[in-house]
Amino acid sequence: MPIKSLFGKTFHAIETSLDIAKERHGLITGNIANLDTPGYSPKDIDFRDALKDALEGTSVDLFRTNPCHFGSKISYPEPSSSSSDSINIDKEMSKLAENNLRYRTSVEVLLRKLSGLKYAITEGGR
Amino acid sequence: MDFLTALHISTTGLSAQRLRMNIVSTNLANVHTTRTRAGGPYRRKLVVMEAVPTEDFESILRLQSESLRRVRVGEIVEDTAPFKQMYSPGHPHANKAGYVSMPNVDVVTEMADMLIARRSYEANVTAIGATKAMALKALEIGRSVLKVS
Repeated sequence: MPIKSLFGKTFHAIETSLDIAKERHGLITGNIANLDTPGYSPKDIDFRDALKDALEGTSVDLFRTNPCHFGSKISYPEPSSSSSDSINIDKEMSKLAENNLRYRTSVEVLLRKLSGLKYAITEGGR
Repeated sequence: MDFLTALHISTTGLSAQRLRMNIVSTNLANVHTTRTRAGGPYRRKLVVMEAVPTEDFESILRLQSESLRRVRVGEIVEDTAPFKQMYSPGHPHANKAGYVSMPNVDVVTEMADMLIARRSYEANVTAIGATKAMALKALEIGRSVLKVS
């Protein structure tokens, strides 16, 4: 049995969702830091779209022309920022909480997956 | 972007708000200052914040992290609003008509400014808390598997 099937699609999906949540967290903290900056437009990426793009492989990935170059694992959709939208503290705080919860949920799912694997490896905890 | 970048961004927010709080305190302390070193009464000071790109290694290497923005206080400017005139003929800084130019500081405005700075500071503290929670949660990955039973 190839080792790939041991860490199947679930691992990849969770890994990707963790990456996206982390990237989004950076954008949201940047928005919060700039609460009082005049003319700043808040930035965000759509979690669902980003995950879909990454899992279906439709996103344009960086092409490695030289094996010595750094590789890029996933690329995120361009963070959108609507200039008409002014920054809103409660929106940003709720997005922060939501994204945080999403990240923790993904980690929790990963933990369950790992403990399931371990259970199987140790022949049912014997 | 990693969690340290997020922490760094929030930290810039904290220091910007703290500086703003200091400026508010300066304005409040000088609400009755009629003589400054430059001459004339005290002028109210204001902070102007601006968003600047983060300058960590990764964002320079990967252009897609370009949209991460930290904050900094671009400049501290003086309020150009006219001074308030107060009638007080006995005051040593009174003009011939008996009026004293008082600083253009409005206590109520300063109080409101102080509250806003405080709330923004708290928002950044919450963001730091969230970053820490996420980073700690990530450390739990694999803990149950690595534990030797």
